[in-house]
Parts: sequence; C-alpha cells; structure tokens
Amino acid sequence: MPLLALEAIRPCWSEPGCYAVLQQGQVLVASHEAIRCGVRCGMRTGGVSAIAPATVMLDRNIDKESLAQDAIAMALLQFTPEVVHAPDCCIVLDVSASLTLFGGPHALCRLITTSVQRLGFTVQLGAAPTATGAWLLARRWREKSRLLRRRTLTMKTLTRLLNRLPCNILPEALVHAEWLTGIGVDTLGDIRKLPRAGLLRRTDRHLLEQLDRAYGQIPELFEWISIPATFSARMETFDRIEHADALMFGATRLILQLTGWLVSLHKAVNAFELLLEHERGRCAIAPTVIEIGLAEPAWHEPHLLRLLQERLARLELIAPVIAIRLEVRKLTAMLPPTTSLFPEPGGTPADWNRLLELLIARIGKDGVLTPACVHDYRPEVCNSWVPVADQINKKNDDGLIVERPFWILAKPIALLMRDERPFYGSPLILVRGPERIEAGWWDAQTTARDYFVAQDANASCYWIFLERSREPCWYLHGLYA
Amino acid sequence: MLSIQQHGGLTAQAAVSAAIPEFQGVWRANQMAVCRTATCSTGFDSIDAELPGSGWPRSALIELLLQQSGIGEMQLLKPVLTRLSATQKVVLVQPPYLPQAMACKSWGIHTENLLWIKTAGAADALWATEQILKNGCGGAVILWQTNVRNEALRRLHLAAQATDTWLWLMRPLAARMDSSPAQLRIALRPAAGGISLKIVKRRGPLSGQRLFIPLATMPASPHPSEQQNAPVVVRARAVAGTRSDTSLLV
Repeated sequence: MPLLALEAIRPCWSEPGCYAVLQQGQVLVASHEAIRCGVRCGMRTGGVSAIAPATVMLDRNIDKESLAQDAIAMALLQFTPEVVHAPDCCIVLDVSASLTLFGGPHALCRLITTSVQRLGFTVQLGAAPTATGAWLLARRWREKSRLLRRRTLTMKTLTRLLNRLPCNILPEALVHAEWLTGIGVDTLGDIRKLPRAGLLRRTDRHLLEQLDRAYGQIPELFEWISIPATFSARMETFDRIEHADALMFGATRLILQLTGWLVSLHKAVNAFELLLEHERGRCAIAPTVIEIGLAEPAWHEPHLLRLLQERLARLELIAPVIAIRLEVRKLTAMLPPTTSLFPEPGGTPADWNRLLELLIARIGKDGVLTPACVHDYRPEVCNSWVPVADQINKKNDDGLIVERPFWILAKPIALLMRDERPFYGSPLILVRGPERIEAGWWDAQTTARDYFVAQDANASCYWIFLERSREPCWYLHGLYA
Repeated sequence: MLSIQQHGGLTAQAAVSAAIPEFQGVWRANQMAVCRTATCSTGFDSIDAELPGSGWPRSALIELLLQQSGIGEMQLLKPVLTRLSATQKVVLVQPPYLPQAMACKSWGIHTENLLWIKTAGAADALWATEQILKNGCGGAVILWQTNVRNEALRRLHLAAQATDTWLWLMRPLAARMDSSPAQLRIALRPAAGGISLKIVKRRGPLSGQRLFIPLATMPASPHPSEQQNAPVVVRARAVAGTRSDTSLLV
C-alpha cells in the first residue's frame, strides 16, 4: 500500500486533489495530483508551498495507519490464514495453499486487489515464490520506458527481476548506500556478483541474509498474525455523517473484515449488530443499534452487505454519526457446501431463507407472514398470520376444516339496509345459511353471529353476518374469491 | 427421368399445402403459438383449449383483469395452486384483503408453503416480487396492483422470464385498454355459479367469445328466484330482537 499514510486519512474514493502527508517537516507521501504538480517525497514544507501552493499538507497519523493496516490484514484473512505485516506499509500473504480454491494466481490477485480497493486503499501487488522477493517487487516503482513487472511464479524470472532492482530498495543496503555507489554497484545483481567474504567484512550479516532470503537460498520464517477470538471492529467516519446511506462505505469495510475473520476461523455468523455512535462528551447520545439476525448462519459478504444496505436505507438517523462499530452476537460453525451432484430444482432451503431475510430487512418483520394454526371457530382468531421469523416449525395438523371465503375483511363493514335487505352496491340475496358462530366467552372478544352467504346483482358472493350480541345489524365480513 | 419430373410437378401443390403445417418455423395467423416454456394445466378444459401450450405459461407475466376483487379469481387458480403448493412456495404479495388460511386448507392448498407479503406501498410490493423472482425459490407469485406503470410491468416481465416461477398479476378491469408486455391477459367478470372470462391477449388468434367457467366451490343458489322471495331478513331480525345478551351465551 504505497499511499497508506495518505489514504488512512483520505480514502482512495474521496475527491482527487493535491495532498501531501508530512512527517517531521518532510513530505512522506503525496497524492498523484500533487506529484504531477512537482511535489516529491522528502521535500520540506517551504518547498512544497513554493512549487504547488494549492497542496493541502496533512500530518501523519500513525494510529490511524496501524488501524488501517490491521483492517486490511483482517480482510485478507479470507484468502489465507497466513498473513503478516511487513515493513514499509506492506502485508505479506502466503497463498500457496489457496491457489486452487480461488481459481489460480490471476483470479486470486484480482480478488485481493478488489477487496483492498473496496476498503479504500490503493494497492501494489507483487507476487513471487519467496516472500521477501514478493515484498521487494511490490515496492518497486514505475520507471520510464520500462515494462513494469511485479508478479512472477518461477524462481528463474524472480532472479532476473531482482537482479535489475536498484540497491536502495533494500533497507539494509541503504545504510551502506554511499560505499556501494562509490564502488559502482547500482543493482541487487551487482551486489551478488561481489565476493561474499569481502561483502560480509565490509557490510553486515543482515544484508546478506536478506538477499539470500529474497533469492530463496535460505528459508524464511514468519510469525503469522494471530486471529483474535472475538470480533469487534470500530471505524471512525471521515466526517459527521447525516445520511444513513453514506454509512455504507464504512459498513462495507467492517463487513469485509468480518468476512475475513469468519472465514479464517471457519465460523458463520447468526446475529450481529451495527452500532452507530453519535455525539460524545457533555451532550452524549446513546448509539443507534441495528440488529441483524439471520435465519441461516452466513459468511458470504454480498449477502450480509445487501441486508445491511436494506436496513440502512430504512433508517432515520437521530443525530450525525461519528463512528461505527460492528459486533458479532452469535456464531456457529461453518457448514460445508452440499455434496449432492445435481442442484435442487427451485433453489435450496438456504436460498429461500436468504430471500426471507432480505424481504424482512426491507419490509419489516410484520410484513412477511405465514399462516398459524389456531383452532377456533371465530374467523378472526382462526385466520391468524404470524411473522415468518417468529414461526416455530409446527406440524400442520388437520383439525377442523370448514368452507370459508378466500378473502376476509380486517374489520367487518356495517351494511346499509334498503327494503329490509342488506345492501352493498346492490341488494344482497341470501343464498346459504345461517351458520351460527358463538364463541369467545372465555376472553374479551365474545362473538355471537349468524353467517350467511349472499349474492349481489352481479352474482359475486359475499360472506355476511347478522350480529346477535348487540343491536341486530348486518356486516360484510368476507368475499368469495 | 422426364416422367419422374412430371410426376413431381403434378403433386407439388398438394404436397406444399399438406407440408406447411409440419414446418416448425412457419406460423399461420389462425394457429395458436407454440409455447416454448413449460405450462401448467389450468384444471379447466375449456380454458386449456384456448391457451397456447394448453395451460398457464411458466416464466411469463400473466395478467388477470378483475372487475372487482372477490369474484372467484382465486378459485380459478385453485387447481394450479394446489398442485404447486405441494412442493413449492406460493407467495401472495399485497393482496387487497386478508387471505383466509382455512379457505386454502379446505381447497387442499398446503398452507405451510404459503407466504403473505404485506407491504406499505406499491414500490415495496414490486421490489419484493422482483426479489422473489430473481431468487427463483418461489413456485408461484401472485401480485395485486391497482396502478402499475408500464416500466414496472416490463421489469416484472423480464424478471419473470429469467426464472422458473409462475407469476400472476391481478389488476382492475379498467387497465385492459392499456398496452402491456404480458404474454397472456384475461379479463374476469362475475357470473352466477362461476366466473366469466375473456382472453384479451394471447399468443394466437383473437379470441372473441366469452367463456363461462363453473366453479364448484362458488356458493350459488340453484334457483335464485325462490330465494329472492323469502323474507329472510325480517325473520332474522325478529329472532335476534327477542334474544337478550345474557341468555345468548348460556
């Protein structure tokens, strides 16, 4: 990540402009626009303001950088468990075991690049059979009139590429830069041509070891980053955010981290929470909690993101958001993919559950309903629908089955009377009935009705009743669809 | 050699007229279109005879234009829903009234496969329908809409074509004059003891006549005139008036 110092403060999707990050009064990193204006690394503040007065100078924020690097490492855990931080804002991954799973080196490189870019960082990817070699290639800068190649799979090409690299790319060689230039050594290949014993006497052991590691002559040992047992990621937003949609970038970053963490532990998430932190201090407001429960444990990043997006789209912020935090509430072990040879027609139950989650996320729990089996004679009680999310898988026992109209009105409509007949658009003729329903003395909804089937002049059928407990009156309660 | 040629020329005309119907790519205006997608029988022979592929087409938008809700439209779909709900999900999106689970059960529809989506607005309903179609898990989707824009219809039609789902859209009868991308449009009107339907649009010749479909579960009086004369209401009121609240529940 060559621009990590800058992008920890300003992510790569923010508006382009001249920016430079300073460390101890010297330019550490500058944006592409600033470099085009003439700003170079190592310049002093005065020089920058003389060459490109429009450049905005920012101070380096080491805390944010290390947080960002941790976030990237966490997200990259989904490709391999062997991830380690390297000097100069680099991350080294050992992907030799993951190549087949992700469809070869090219596909894997593309996946890694996209996922780092979605986190908001520019990435330079180097690939080589040795970790140090890959690290050196990744840090190589573009030179004029020279084909830039940072990836190789064979030792032979790596040796050729490394031989051409300038000496000062190796931090150990930078110490002896003056001496090396003095004897006319420019590239790593030139150093290797020197007699080994003399080189060891005049420089130090570390330079030789590092070179040997890069060329694959001695083994490399790394202490891979340890995966935390619990997941809780927090991110400060770059500004006070007043629109829930604008939180999607931050949420994407947290979800990517979550995916990396879940995959590395072989776990799937059942429930998680997104906390939106508001004002702190004197006028502190408690954070808004978005709770997302999943019917089926998931670890797929697109699905989690869709759910979050639908929820965020419905959310109304009570106050500007300054930070977001993602916390995992419930975990289960990841299930292996199904081993059946043919896909099931009409999708798998997992697909169906995913659809239900998506619908619930947008419409709400009370909008996705399924019939509940309640044995009661009163049509209002009998015809109860419960949210799918609450439904306990009950066996559908066939109790009593009576003929009923397909449509029921949520609230019965009182009918007008004309010529002693109920009237609804046209006079209603009673066709069948009465069916007496008297029930509910045990609770407050006592019902005493005589139900009839009535037909109007159009020949459509209605289910009407005569109320018996109060003033006798006709009501429309159902339609025969 | 010559005689053979002559023989061929004589029979050519008869051969052409006989051979045309057998060509796959030739369609005559008085023929029904060949339905390339799977169909599911409607359960009523007289409708099946009028539909290309003799049944409800799968992966297509089917419009049912209702004079009003509650005229027997669900009973028209009863055979197909009963069949589909045995193995697949049936989703009702934004129905005009509360669907009665008991009615479904008495018709033989498996209620555990029934899903009712109650949305606040038409946009949510259309979105939900599209998601269900995209997901491909639902066996049948029935959507109720009063005012649908043409873009939305086209979008639904495209979404339906990409999946293996049956999709019915219930619209008011007034919409029959508007153009629509639906493959099949049927206007439904109430009729005594059944339902009267007219095919507005189908892939085939224009259908002129109105079809009457008797529905067995539609409660209709065999002799309407008899019932008309019976003063049921007066009698019922008198009965209700004599009863008091306390004796009612004893």
